[in-house]
Amino acid sequence: MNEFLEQFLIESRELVDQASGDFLALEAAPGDRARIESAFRAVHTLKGAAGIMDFHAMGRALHALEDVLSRLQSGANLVTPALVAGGLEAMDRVTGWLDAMQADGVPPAAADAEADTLVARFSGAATDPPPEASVAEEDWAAELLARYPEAARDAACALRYAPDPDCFFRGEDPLARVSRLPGLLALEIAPAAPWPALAELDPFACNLTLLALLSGPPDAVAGLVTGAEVRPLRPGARSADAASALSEPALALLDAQLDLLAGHPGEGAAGRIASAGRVAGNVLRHAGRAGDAEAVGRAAAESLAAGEGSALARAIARARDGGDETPAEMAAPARPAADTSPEPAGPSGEAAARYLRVDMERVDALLTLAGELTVAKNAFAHVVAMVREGGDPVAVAAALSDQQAGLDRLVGRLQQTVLGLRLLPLSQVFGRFPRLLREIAGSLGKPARLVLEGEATEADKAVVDALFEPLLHGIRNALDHGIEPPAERERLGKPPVATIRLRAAREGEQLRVEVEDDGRGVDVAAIRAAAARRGLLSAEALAALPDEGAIDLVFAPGFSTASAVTDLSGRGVGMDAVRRAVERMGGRVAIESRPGVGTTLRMLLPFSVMLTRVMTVEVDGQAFGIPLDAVVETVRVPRSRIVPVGGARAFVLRGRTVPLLALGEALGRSAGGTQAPDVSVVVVAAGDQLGGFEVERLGGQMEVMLKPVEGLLSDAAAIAGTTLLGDGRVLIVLDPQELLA
Amino acid sequence: MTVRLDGQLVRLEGACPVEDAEVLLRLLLASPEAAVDWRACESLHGAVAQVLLASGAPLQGPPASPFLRQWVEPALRAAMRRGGPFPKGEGMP
Amino acid sequence: MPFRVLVVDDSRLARMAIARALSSIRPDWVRVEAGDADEAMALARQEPVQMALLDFNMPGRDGLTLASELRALDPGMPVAVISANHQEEVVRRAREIGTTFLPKPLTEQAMEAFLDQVAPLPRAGGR
Repeated sequence: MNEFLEQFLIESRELVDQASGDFLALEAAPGDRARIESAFRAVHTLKGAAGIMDFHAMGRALHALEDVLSRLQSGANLVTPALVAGGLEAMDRVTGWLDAMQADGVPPAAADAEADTLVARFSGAATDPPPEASVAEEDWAAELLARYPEAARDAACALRYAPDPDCFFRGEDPLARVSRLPGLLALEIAPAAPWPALAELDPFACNLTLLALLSGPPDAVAGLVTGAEVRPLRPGARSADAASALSEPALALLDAQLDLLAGHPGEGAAGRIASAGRVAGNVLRHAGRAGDAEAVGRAAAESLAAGEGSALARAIARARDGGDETPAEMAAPARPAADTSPEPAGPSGEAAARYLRVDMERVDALLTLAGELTVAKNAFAHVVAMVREGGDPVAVAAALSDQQAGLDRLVGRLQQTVLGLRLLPLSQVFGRFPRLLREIAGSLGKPARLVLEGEATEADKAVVDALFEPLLHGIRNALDHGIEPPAERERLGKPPVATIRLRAAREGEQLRVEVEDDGRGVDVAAIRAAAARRGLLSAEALAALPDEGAIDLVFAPGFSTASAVTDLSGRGVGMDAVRRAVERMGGRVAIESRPGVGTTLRMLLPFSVMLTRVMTVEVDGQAFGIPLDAVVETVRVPRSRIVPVGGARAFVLRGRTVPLLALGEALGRSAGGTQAPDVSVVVVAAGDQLGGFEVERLGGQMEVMLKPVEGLLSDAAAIAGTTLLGDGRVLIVLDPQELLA
Repeated sequence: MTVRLDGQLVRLEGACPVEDAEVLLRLLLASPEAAVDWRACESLHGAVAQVLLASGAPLQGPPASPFLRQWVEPALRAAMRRGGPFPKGEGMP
Repeated sequence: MPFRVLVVDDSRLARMAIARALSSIRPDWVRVEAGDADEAMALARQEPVQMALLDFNMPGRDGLTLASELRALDPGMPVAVISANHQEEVVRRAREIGTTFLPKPLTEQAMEAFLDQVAPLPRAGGR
């Protein structure tokens, strides 16, 4: 992404946050001059940013809002609830545009119409500037369609791609990009500016504009050609279904289901098919593609009956590509090969997650360290000179050992500092909730205020990012089940406006995060009744269970005590999702209830997490992870080249004899009966020793948070840890060192 | 060498990388009358296509790969017809 | 001595845009950037600057106030105040204190026109 766009997105998101916070504060205190001032400045700067990016629609919308705010500043108008709602809606819209720009690199096509709506809304007395987009700008797609009537019939989108002049230097090839697009129907290549005399031509400055009509889905096209303008078309040939394009997170979710299905028949296949079918169906229904959702449902049933997922995979791929016959590979840009975790994206998606804002002081500390490392490096020159001059070996050793100790210290500090770079204040995730709470509380008719405590507490970025989902569930749950309706609260002598607290504190190497409400507490009797009804525990076991144990049942998969299914919870994904998310981070979760006083959802999380890249392999139908830093390479070895060595086996790899271990046997599983002519071997290094693991199948790579082994497995020395996959399965990560020992 | 001068022909052969743009430009400047034979060309970096387009040099095709044949050649010919500053007519296949 | 230009805007994006325009028009000039008036004054006191491009709308003191303060350091310094709002009031006050008002987003043409006016390039054979 170019640095301007990157900075634009970072800055705009901050400004949107600032303005949203101001609007919310103004709702509570309409006369707050400082907030009016702050909102005005944020909107003004946002408008300026839009201008720099030539994003005229956004500039127009914000200009209208700015006018409204300037009338507040001058005291001509007063803050009204409608105004606050309008401001918040504008910020929502802008967030949507920013997400689209982040995904596609260009303003979304719908922005102009959406901006018009906003301008109309704000233009009570404002004088709107004329739309800035010229007619010619708008018409390129129409003209292109007119030039290619044949292609126009099947076109799903029109593309205008004017790569910037430096793109060749960045190693980009616009032509190659276009060649990879799905469903090319027409292509035009034209100079962006008139050609200079040939002698003046700079061959490495791109002066091309490419225009194309494509039958591929607009989202996929935009994903493959960043920086291009992609205009979705609605050709008559297509069903209304196909025309409603899938959002980026929706596509990612569908991809994750395809990956899940790409496994093989056998153990767990039914579970995978059912889960993929359910998720894909929900995604499609949510995107308004009921027809596709139904088709996926039918295919899932067919796949379940057949015991293998190909029918479902085909249906999902068809829905994903808008009914096009485009192969999934082409339509899926930058899909990580083995990412099987269908992470639900938060409301603003994972968009913000790829950036890290870093405190200047931390960068300075790194710079200082870099300086010290240079000094340490230079000191080695001195030792080298000692050796060259035939210095006393004892003195040389002493000097080397000094240097080593110094380096050791520096590397330790470097690790600490780099880890520190990943630290973010929890306000990053807490800050998203005042807004959400307001909406959820409003929709439930339960007025509530949110109090944030300890939001300056810092934690690893991975933890902060992953906290959104469990916190959202916690808050929804509090509003749904904990907080009483206002009338009831009044009867009980409680303040009618409920209070929910988000609290964070650092406790040693742990982070404590709580969601506390002042509602009625957990209804233990209702939980016992529901558990009995669902047959989670036998009647005797339930009777013997103390109250705290009974409360923990809410974390059981699919448990819900909602008497009425609301919009927000009661979908069977409630607290079990919280527990899964927290456990994936290596944390624990508990509920504390004080009847009539309130409920506290408490999460204890590691302060920092170790992300480990692993390679997955399959043995006896089960997936295992091998830490990637131990993997030297993967090779296929013909059986004929495997030789017995004593009681063991080995093969020769580039003149070196490497002991071969059948991973299945080593793990006490069945030996695997295939007699393929050659075997897949993962060559790992443990210390200076090489070893080969014979596996049935090689998988992809993924980044996982390793959890220390507990319970049954804790005696197994060869296991480095476990991690939860997105679909709830446990991946066991092996310790190659122990296996080879 | 994926671009070379062969008498009055500049030949593009195989996969022509970005660096070929400069070589091609030099050859075309040195031999303004030269035509470009891209019948053996498998793929073409955008920068090379840009030099072809800017020079308006007659093209001898069709090129070797389906993408070039189906999309790039017609697009370049159409663009040259629309008239760069140096329309030189079209080379016949 | 290189020509030093002070660029003040609380938006880094805006500073990047100005920097891009400046470096294409006057590639040999040295840019110093600040995010607010305090930082700007500190920089200007540290080492003199020959010109200033100031955003009008900033937290703390606005661009016009900053312009007056910079003028106190160097009464002859060319200063441009940049704003997205053509409010008569701002334009008038900018003129009053002898600064140039430039509209935001700043185009390269507008910037070039301003620079040609206050710091023309030495013509070939000139000086």
